[in-house]
Amino acid sequence: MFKLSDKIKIQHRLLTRLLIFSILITSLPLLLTGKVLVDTAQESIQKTILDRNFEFTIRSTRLVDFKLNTARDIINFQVKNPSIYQMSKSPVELAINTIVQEFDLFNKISVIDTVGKVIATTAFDDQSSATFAANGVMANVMRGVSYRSDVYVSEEHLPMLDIAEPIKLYDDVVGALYAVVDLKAMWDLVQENVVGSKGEAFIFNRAGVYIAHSDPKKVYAKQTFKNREIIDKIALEMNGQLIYTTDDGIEMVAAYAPIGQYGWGAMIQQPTSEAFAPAHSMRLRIIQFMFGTILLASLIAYLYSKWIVRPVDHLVQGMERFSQGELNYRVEKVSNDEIGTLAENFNDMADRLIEYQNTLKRTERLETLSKLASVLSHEIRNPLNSMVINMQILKREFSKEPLNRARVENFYHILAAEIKRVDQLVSDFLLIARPQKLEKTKTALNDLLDEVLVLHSAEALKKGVRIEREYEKKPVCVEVDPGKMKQAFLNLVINAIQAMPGGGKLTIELKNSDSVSKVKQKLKGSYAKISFKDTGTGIKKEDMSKIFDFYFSTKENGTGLGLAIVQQIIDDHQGKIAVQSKVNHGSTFTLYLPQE
Amino acid sequence: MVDKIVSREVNLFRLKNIGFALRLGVAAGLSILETLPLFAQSANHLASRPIIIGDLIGRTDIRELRILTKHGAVAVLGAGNDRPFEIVNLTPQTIELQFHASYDLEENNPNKIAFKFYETERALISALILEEVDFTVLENEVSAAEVSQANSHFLPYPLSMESNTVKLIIYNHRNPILKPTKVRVALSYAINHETIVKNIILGGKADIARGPFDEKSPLYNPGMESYKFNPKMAIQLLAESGWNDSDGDGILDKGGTPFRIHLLYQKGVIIDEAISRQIKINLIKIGVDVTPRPLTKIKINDQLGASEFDAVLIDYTFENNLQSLVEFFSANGAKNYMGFRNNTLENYVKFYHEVQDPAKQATLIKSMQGVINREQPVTFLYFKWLTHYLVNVNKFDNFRDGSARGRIRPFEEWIIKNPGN
Repeated sequence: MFKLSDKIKIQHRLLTRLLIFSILITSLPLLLTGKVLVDTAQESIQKTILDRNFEFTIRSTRLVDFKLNTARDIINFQVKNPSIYQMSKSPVELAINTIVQEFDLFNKISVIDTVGKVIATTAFDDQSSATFAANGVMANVMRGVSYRSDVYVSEEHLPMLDIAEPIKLYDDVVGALYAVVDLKAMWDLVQENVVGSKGEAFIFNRAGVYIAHSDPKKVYAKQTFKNREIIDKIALEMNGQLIYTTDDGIEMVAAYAPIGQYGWGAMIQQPTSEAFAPAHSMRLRIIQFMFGTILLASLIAYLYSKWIVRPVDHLVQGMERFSQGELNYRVEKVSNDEIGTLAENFNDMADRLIEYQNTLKRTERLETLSKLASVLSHEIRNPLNSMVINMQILKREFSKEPLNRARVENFYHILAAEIKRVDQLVSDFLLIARPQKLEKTKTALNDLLDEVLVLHSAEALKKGVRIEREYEKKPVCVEVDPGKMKQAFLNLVINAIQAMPGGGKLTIELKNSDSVSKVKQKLKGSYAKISFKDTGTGIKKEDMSKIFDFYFSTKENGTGLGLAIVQQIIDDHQGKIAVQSKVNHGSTFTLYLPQE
Repeated sequence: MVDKIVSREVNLFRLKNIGFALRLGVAAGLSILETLPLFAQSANHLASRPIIIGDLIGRTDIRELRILTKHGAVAVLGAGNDRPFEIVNLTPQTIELQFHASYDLEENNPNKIAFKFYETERALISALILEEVDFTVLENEVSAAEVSQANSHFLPYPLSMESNTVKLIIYNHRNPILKPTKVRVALSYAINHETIVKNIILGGKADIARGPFDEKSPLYNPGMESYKFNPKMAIQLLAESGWNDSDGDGILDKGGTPFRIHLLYQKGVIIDEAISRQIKINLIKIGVDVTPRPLTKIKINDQLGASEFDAVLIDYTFENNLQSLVEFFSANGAKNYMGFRNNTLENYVKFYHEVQDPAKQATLIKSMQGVINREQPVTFLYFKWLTHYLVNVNKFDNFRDGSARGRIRPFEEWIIKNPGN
């Protein structure tokens, strides 16, 4: 038979298994789906961002290209303007000043004749034009070749570009239109392409010098873009997108593209922490949702498992109580499923079991009675024989004269003793054969033991037996039938005294449940412990299994009912009795009586 | 320009003391500059807590430069033992002033003021963005916004202009070309005031000017002619004055003299350059050849004093009183750089002194404005509403006073946020 704790373990294992299974069955698909979803979303967002940045970059390069081409187109258009090629000062001044006023792209425009003289200029301080006119570029332009300088940074820290176009009258070059293009005009384009709050957009030349930057400070400070790999790719007119780490240790998602034929590059970049923040945020939300769902599923699984296990739990509890002797306990039917059917079947089985038990009890009792009757008749026959013999002797004594009164009295006592013995046999028999209903009352076992010991202390002393009491200070109170329990204690005390014919020590120990080693006895609940430890002859190993049998005794005059009665009484109180014994060292009888 | 914003007194001082500039003359000015290195000395004898003020050579005449201290406006190049500071460095690009050790300053107050002068507004903007300068004034709202956008340490604070601060073109009446009233009136008709206000003063944050007083002035004469852009009228008036393009070169001429004038403007000032270009474009269309010429403020003042100019684009602030008008337009006015003389106006001035009734006096001032409006000794362009000062707010605190205009406090009262750095 399995124990209560095992049942509980089984019950808990069942709940745990069900719970784990339910959680797994809901969580695993969710986790897998979530993982796929997160990966897909992240990949998709990252790709979208990379594509967007790339598109922005391409658009930016086109706009810059367009703007620069516009500058060139304006200049090309103007050189075909009669106002210009006629090289008359006033119309030329009007034309070029109007251009500078209308287009912020131009910092300065000058018209120079073939000998390098400045005909007109929008620069009211015309030194730069003079410089241009003086340098070697002029000669080429005058030969009909267009000119475009590299980007340079002005004294005002602004990126500039010079362009010059020959002015032709028919096929003859009559001068040149020279313009300083202020690349600051592109800064707005760059600014428009900044993505996010921490993003950057910039344009750099072949050397990496910033021409435009969303952080204009970098242009003013003449800073350079240092990623050689990208600069080289731009030089090869390659475009692309990448994730790289800047010198400052910031991971950037970037897109780059070359700008027309200038050898410049446009780049848009954004820290990945910001660019992919939506992906991270989405992932976080999905993970939160997943865990939230798992938590909810776990809660539901727990409640469902509890709901599943509850009838089993009831069943287990019912079995447990049934096994503990509550034979009238029936399992409540809490569901209409298989478990409910099982409960019904269990209850039917319990009913039948009780029926069988009653039948068995009746059979056993009859068998016992038969055996008792047989033993009793045998036991009674001896005193009866003795009585018959002594009665005959007594009769003979009464016929003698003078009457020997002393002998008569002796035989009388013998007869009386035999009668008493028969009476005792019958009483004991009745005690076993007709168990009386217990009349339990809360009783202090200390007092009960003392009452027994008072009666037998004199006899014990006479036989050289010293009785020691080891009671707990606190009274040990148990619901018992005092008369029956006193009988049990008496039998054990007598048994102990008889086991020490040469004298010895009887130690009676009484403890409350708190002190009882329940683990050793595998008891559940509170039990009072009463032990009777003697230093007598002990019990042989082969007799240990028989000492509680009826009419088993190793003593010459023993009835063999004493310990059987003790067990009967203890069983009636739902207690336990345990024996430890060693030949020639003594025995210890320990009683456990339930306290609750 | 900075000193102009520091206080109204500074502005007035500049113009009131133009005579001082004139007296010094070119030679005197040069001699001062030549002796500048003599003033240069180590500024490190005291723990340095400077404010670096950026300005343009085109709008600052260091001879007029004054700074506002707790005890009033003090001329930077002045003399006397009661000055709270000494000049520790003086070059054409830099002036460094060190407050005396005994001067009442807290440890977090600046003890040194350094002026750095730039050739162009763009260069000044670069210096601001790179934090080479702590404070400046930018007339151009777009430039102020650009600095602030590029460097968040700088915040632009708009400051409403003083009343009657007008942008105008002064004509030299000693020049025979510009002497006839019809010619000046024609020029006023030919200049597109509206385009200047709308396109150059972005957002049109200016009012077109008709005379020396703005519309809020109690002395404003609403009956004045607006000289709305009318190039045909301008051509007609010039023709009536004998100016025609006889040789077909696009430039008017009269008696073999082409209509060519120089327009002086403050070097490196973006708005002035743009206005000069606009004037050039407008006038070239009517056959007047204008050559804008950027000059430093010192040179402009010198040339004004010496009457060596045709036309000058300047800012001027008129007081709401007769004296201010007389000073500028009367034949004996200290600031009548134009050489303008009008008997009617002179008579009004006399009458003004004879009548005691303020209402009549006001009427006379309005009548004087009528004369000025008719005669156009100058072309009034606009009254600008705002200017902007920029402060490195990462470095300084306590730089604004509690006035509604939010004017700048004396520099030595500013608080350096981290004096140890």
